[in-house]
Amino acid sequence: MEGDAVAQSTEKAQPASQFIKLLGTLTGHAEPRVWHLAWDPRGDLLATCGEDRTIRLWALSAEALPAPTAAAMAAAWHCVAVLEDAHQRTIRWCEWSPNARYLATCSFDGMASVWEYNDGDFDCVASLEGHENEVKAVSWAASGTMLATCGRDRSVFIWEAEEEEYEVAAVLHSHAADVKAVAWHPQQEVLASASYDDTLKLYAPNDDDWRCFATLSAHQSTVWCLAFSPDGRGLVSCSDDRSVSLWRDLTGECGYVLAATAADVHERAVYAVSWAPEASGLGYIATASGDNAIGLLRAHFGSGTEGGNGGESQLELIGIQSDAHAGDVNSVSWRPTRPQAASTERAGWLASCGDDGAVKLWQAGS
Amino acid sequence: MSGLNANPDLFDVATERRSADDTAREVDPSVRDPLDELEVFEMIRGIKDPEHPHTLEQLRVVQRSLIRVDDARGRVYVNFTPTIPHCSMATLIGLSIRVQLLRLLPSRFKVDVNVTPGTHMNEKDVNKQLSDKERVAAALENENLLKMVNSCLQGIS
Repeated sequence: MEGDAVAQSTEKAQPASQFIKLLGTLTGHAEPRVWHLAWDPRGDLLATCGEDRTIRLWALSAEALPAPTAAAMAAAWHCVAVLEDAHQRTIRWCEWSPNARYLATCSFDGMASVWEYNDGDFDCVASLEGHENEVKAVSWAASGTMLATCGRDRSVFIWEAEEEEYEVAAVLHSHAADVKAVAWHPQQEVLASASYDDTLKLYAPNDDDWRCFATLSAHQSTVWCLAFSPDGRGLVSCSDDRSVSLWRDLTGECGYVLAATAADVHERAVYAVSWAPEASGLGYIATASGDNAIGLLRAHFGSGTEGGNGGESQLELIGIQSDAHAGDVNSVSWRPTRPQAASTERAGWLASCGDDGAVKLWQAGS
Repeated sequence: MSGLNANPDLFDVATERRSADDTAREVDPSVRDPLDELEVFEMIRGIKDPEHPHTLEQLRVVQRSLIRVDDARGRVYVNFTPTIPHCSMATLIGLSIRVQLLRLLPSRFKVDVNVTPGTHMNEKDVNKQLSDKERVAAALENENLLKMVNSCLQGIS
């Protein structure tokens, strides 16, 4: 009994509960604001980008590591390349192609770029011109042959790649305000977007064109980011209204409905969400916020057949890591894990970046 | 140009200055000196209105009583009052206040700049734009807009 009482009071005093442990801090960007980061699909290379108009690539110097103490990790990870002169303004987002051969970037200068990675060298192989002004996000389809971009001009562009030529397959004007993020379904040819107009939208091919087939409304303010679960059954979104919402596909044909909302997860806007790869444990979702914290939630799916809603699905708040950065946390991402490596220490790694200029590596769980 | 207030009311300024004792404490490096409302007010009182040769203080667009500081938690809240409810320059004024505070305050402070409730027709839209860090960051990379902001921040001569 006494033990219970102690545990409860401890929990109240310190909700952070040590659910993530700092492994290392990577510094190098010339301007403090690091906007986004992306792991390559193997989890070997981390790309970061931001206000200093560069992309930095980080890698582990040796696979064999001593015990992952913070000092050892910080020493083991280092910057292996800096890509400059690609963009004239802030680089807002970067994303690897599924085969790890290409890195796409986009910028406030109105352009998106595609870089080819070859034996440690990066060459800019394509410049995607079409948006009227700031391009805010970029995402590769699972096939690797399609790319989506979105921006302040309220549009979503779908680009089709043939060899290294990119052609506009569709320009979608469904949102009423700037589009903050795009994400492809992990298996189906379906794209989702998040906007300043407080909604998410879903798009699918329709004959020769693309069309918006659903609008998801629940957030009270700008939707900053979205992420599909690895199996595509779930979709998670986060907002300026400080909440995180879980959407569930009840039909198997992207019939997403609101399944659960975790309100007041953070004290300020939630800028990013990342859904953990299956090997890291089912249903874990990391969040990044303007309150300097990283959050960890877990999605639980109920039976989900009754009443046309998500059933008894839940979004459980597991912990909040306060002061994860000395400024807004802009992005967070789980490290991909190859199935055979699932049981090793590499599972459950997170990377985060923020307005303090730092890129941090974390180990989730104990 | 609609939204232009041709004859704004002017108010007396300099009614709020720091006392001599208070100033002595401020400059004494041995005293832990939490940020207060007057310090924030002093950072923004001299900003020039985009349309008039007057300061935001003279026009009572900013007032010390509309500033709140939580030093321990690192939060600064500033409300500003457009001179007329359909002022087309409200977003630019708010942006100038935000930029000035971003430049002058230590980075541990989070700043919220909002229209004083009930004083502007598009209050909600203006507040949403001003709180969107991505839009603010992009605006500051736009040379024309940055020029307008800097001209406001130079004050009146």
